[in-house]
Amino acid sequence: MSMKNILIFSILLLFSGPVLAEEAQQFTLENGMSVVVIPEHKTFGVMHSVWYKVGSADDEPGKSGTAHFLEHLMFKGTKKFKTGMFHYIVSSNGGFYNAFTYLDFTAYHEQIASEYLEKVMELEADRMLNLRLDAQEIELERKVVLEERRMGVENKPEKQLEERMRSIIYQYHPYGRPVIGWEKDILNIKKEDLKEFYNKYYQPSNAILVVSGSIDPEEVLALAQKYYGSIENTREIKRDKVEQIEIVGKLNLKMKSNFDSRRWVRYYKASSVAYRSLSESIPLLVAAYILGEGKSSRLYQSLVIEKKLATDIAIEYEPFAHKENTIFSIHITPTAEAELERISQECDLVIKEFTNRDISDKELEKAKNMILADIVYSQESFYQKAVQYGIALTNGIPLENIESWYKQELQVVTRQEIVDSVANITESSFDGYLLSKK
Amino acid sequence: MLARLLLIFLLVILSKTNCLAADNKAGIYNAQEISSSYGFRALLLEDHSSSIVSMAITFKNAGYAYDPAEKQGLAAMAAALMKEGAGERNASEFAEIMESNGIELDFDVNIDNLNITLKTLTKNIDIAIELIRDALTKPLFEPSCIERVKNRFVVAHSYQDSDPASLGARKFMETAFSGHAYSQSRLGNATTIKNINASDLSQYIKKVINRVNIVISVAGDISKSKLVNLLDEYLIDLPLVSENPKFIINIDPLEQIGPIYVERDFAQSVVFFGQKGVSPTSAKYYAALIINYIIGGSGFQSILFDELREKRGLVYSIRTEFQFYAHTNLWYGHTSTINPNSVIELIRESIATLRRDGVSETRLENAKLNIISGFMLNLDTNSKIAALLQRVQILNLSKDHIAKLAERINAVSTSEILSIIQETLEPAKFIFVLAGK
Repeated sequence: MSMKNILIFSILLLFSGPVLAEEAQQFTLENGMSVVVIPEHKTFGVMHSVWYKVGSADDEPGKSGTAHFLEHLMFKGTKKFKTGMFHYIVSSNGGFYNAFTYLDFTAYHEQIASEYLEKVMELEADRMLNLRLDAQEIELERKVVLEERRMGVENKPEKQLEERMRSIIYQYHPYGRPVIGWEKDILNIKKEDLKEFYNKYYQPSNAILVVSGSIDPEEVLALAQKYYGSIENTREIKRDKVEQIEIVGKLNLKMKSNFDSRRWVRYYKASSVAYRSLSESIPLLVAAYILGEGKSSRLYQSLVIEKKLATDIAIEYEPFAHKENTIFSIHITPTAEAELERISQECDLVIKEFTNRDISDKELEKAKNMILADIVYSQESFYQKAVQYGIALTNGIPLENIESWYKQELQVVTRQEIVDSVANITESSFDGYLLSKK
Repeated sequence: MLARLLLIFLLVILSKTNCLAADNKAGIYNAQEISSSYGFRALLLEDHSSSIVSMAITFKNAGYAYDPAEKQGLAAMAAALMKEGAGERNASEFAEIMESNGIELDFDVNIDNLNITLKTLTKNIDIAIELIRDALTKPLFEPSCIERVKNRFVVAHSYQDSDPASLGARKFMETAFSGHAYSQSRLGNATTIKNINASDLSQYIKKVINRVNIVISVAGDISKSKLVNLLDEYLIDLPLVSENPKFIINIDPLEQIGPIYVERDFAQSVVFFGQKGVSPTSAKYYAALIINYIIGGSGFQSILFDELREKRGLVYSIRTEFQFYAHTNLWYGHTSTINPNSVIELIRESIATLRRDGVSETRLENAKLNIISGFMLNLDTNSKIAALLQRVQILNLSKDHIAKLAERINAVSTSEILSIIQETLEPAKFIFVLAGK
């Protein structure tokens, strides 16, 4: 779009009514790379993001952290754009960039005025094929990654507890390894490991381009064909399905902290949307809201208000962020006096009551309203929208299901399904105790 | 006012930088000043492209610097209790109605003010404002709720004590403003929390909640007339008089201190550093924004990031920022590392080099572009827009601050940057605080 057009458009916008939402569109390039465009004309910018269907779950045993380490090194330059050039070109056009790695995906993104979309696409396509891995840069970056690990994990007792819990609950499943990697493994990753990982997984057919913002889908497609379309796909990636691990019985882990802060965490094994189905995950999501979202939730009412054992509670359940199985977790911050064993018992009672008694209409309505409001809020930003789509797509959820997933299933979910969804996962559990140093 | 400025602004000759900012798709130049029949004033940016309304309400002179020294934690506790029952609804009923309607409502204090933020679906705006009204004018302060919030604070103290970033930040403020109200603690400590009773909380409300100290900004799916009606209907109960708050004298942070150590067994140390900042209403403000951006405000693009991370692998992240307070201005930064001594040395050296050499044309131009472009790109939600409008009002930024930002940033030259760096930044005067081994 030319400068003049941008100006005219913006002036028109001042006097026009609501911006009509355009539907997201999907294309596939000849080399197998998928392209998704989400037009959103409220902004003058674009979010350009490339999502590789590879994450820490693909790290080799003994080399945990490879996917994340490589993500750092992707900013170190190619033959054409030497070290520092990526940064210089994006920033000198007023843009921003970053990247993130999770279990099953690694994403690189740039936000910039839409007229510079081509520039960032050229850079991103170039480093899909031509990354230069320099031994000296690798050693410097290894130090950075270790500092990142100290900041994010080793200085945070509750994170250390959960890192250990994940490694125990997942046993030999790759989700049991930390995304950032164990310290020993980070020290053990060689240049050859990184190179091999890059050559294997950074393939067009293993990537999804997600562009949101002020752009025309056809224009994006033409640019994608020009820059990504010319990259030859040299390998098809197929990941072996890892056997699902089940927890049997009730496990617990007690970890002594160096400090006074305490925490109690419970894990249940649950399904992810991609591995099972949406109709299995939605009831559990509604249950998570009824049990633990907000001060009117069942766990808060019982443990904080009535029993005075805790000061805060939270439930985490992200059915869409995992390709394979996932965890339904309860996190409780105990009061200074509370015994953690007592918290565990009271938590059991709340869950038991949930599976034995019907949910009221009011409770169900409240949970649905909260979820619907959260959907509206989370789609407000064009940046956030691209992230949501990227996560869903890399985990195998089809585009047509993304917009409608919650809304349709929410209409039809029954109270019995919600109760059953909790009964199904709570037979076995894993409790983590973070104890104070005293 | 701002709307008219927009048209003038759009006619400004467009350099590459201006183009980015001139585009008004975030609509930010459309913000308008409104005033109601009962004298409420607000900045409003109407945007009907989503069904969301975001609102920021601030009561000035109500922050934790105003807590009596022996009752530190009072303002934060009052804010926390506003959602724990008000009007006809006890704590659970208040939560129930808020959550059933998907309303996100928060009350919190910073050093100077009490801040309320609201995000709601348009259809629930009336009930949301009713809840705010009740929380402000009829909080219940039930003994069981007070006890609960006190317990929460006690637990929060122990978390802060195990977190190097919280410990370092506390120590930094205590050091920079030793003996002044700005050295007070937001959550107090075990003793000061014990000293707070229901009557202190009621006194706090009586003192700070009124129509004189209130500042309001709104963004999203709401019309001017609807907003005016809501304010007049629901906030009319707020008193029209204000009591004089505790007198707080203006202060500059102390200089040339440290490194001061907070010794703990952390895997990695956190380093805080800083000095006196620049006033948001001073002539140097826009140049100072650029200088901060270049030194450490920009994440990946900054000098400190380059020196400490890219060249030496000493840190994962380093950031610097301005804090604009009612009675002082601060510039500070923080990072974490296992090599704090080298990091401190390099921070000093980098600033000294900058004082000597200034910045290149290219670096300056890139910084300008990024500040302006980032300013616009970042306004992607109504909550961020409401927060920006609120900041303009609280900091007393000029009425045309938003419209003229690009122009004023672009007007700064390399020579101006150099002279302001030399005038305002002195590594010899920095305070350094180190939490860790």
